[in-house]
Amino acid sequence: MFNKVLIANRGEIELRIVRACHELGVKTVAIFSEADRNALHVRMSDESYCVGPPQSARSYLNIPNIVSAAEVAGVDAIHPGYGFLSERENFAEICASHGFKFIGPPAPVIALMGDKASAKKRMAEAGIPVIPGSGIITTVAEAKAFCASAGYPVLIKATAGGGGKGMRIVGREADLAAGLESASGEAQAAFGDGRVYVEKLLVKPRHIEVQVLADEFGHTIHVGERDCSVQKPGHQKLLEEAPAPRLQPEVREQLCAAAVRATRATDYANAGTLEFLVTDDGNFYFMEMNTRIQVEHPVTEAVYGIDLVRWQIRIAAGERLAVRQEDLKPRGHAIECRINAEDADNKFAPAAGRLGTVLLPGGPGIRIDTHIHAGADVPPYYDSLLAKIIAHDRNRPSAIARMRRALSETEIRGVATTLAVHERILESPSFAGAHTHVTWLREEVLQPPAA
Amino acid sequence: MDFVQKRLPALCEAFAQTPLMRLRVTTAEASVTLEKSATHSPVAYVGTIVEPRRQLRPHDYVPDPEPGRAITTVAADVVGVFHSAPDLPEIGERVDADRVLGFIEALKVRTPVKAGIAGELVGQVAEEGQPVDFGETLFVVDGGPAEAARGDVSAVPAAEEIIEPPRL
Repeated sequence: MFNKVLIANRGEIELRIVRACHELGVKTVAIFSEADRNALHVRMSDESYCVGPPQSARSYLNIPNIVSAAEVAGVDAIHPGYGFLSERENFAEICASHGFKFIGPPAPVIALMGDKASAKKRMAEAGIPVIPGSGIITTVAEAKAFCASAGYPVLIKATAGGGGKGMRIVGREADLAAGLESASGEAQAAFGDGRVYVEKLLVKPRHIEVQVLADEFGHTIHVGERDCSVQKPGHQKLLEEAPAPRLQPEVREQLCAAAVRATRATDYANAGTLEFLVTDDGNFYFMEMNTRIQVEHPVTEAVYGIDLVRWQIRIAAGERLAVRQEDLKPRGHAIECRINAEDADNKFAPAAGRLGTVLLPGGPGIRIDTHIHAGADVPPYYDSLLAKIIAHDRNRPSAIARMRRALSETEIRGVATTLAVHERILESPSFAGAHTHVTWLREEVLQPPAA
Repeated sequence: MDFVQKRLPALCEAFAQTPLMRLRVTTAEASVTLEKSATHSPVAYVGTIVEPRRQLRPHDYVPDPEPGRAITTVAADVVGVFHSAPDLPEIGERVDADRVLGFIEALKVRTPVKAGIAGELVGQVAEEGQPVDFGETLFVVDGGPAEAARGDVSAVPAAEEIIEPPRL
């Protein structure tokens, strides 16, 4: 097992990794920007190093400073968390060349899956259904030709993208050129890579993803699926649950089997998630693979009783994954609500400031993953996630009731939060009936149809 | 030693129960100082102050400036190991803004540390071979009386604002 691990991240996920390390007897090293000097993730780690000014590009994405901190601290391994450098193959390579074990899959797999267009191609070759789509678009004419044959509406996506950035929906040919330029510009700014591709836009699909785990000896398992259909306009997830409700058992089986097949086909190691879009007719289409731990991993942990982050560390340390597929049986239902510092009534505009009172829920079946506390600063430089509340109970209606109970106990003052919009989601009859899909939140909750 | 093996554990236990923060015990055999660190509270409610875990290094002290003088702290802008320049000026010597006072070694690259303003080298805060992180104070340079340096008193902020206070 490692002696010391550096966590190249911040906020709640850094804490999550620190906790897994401490339970394994591994010492932890945090990095922080000047804006996070008093952050909880710094206080909970055994050592910490300031790596730059507040801007992410100069701190949490500052590879030289981060790797130098790892050298100075004498760590064995680096855990990248999610976002930031977690899916940059050059970071994984640099860690390796400096003698640090990168806690994640090998760099070539990160590269393959990080290029969304090439990942799709590879999956199609492995016999996994994919959404009809183009290659990287170099001219508007190319895009027009694809859209003419696939049919509108289409979705323009950034090949280096994630988290909903660099995406544009285009309903007709007249808007195509403007959509391409806008998506490409956003992608260039967010990821440093403005290349885009185009996909057919499916009608009200559900976003269902499969968690996979593989050790470095080739033993690969799936840990069930999650439904992440409740998304803000802009495709960012807001609420996730496991198992996916109202999913035919055959479709679930095929999805999970496809995920394992795809993972094995890429010589994968460590944790990963394959994202699919599932239509009402039971068809599913590969969308992308995330070669890292995901924000919503706690719902899988609740339902399967498995510690994914601890397995990430153990797998990277060379241990065999001692979990057999046949032993994994889901128990009950879990829901996660992302409490963000955002004003849901104002297009989810991010809020920043200093928190006042913070009262977090508890009791049976409630888990909180958060870095916030009363008096904490919410800096404007990073993503707006404040806390994840996870409710687990024996079935979905009970989990919904438990989450409503937990939300009613929760108080976070000082910035606008998404607490209220979660309450609206959970009291909605169509959510109770599991009728969600990727545009459900906008259509049914934010702009409900006239009575 | 009899004191260390037999009496010290009991002494530590007793000390832990008291509200004292620091205790020195001197016997014929040994002198022992016992210290408590501030308690931590991971999820704090309103009113609780949490101290950071990071230990202050012995040289995290910056000398108080005289009011009205343009003091500059020379801070690290990369993470690495600090080394002083072979021709390091003496404390009190005058330096140019471009004078290299040392360098920070990181990933086999040496980044020079320059004085930044012309003036007198007042202090060296970082020790030779000390690991430093971003923003850590390395040197203090006295740029002279503010009026003489700038010709405009109002443009120079008060010395308290220029110096970064020692990090808690």
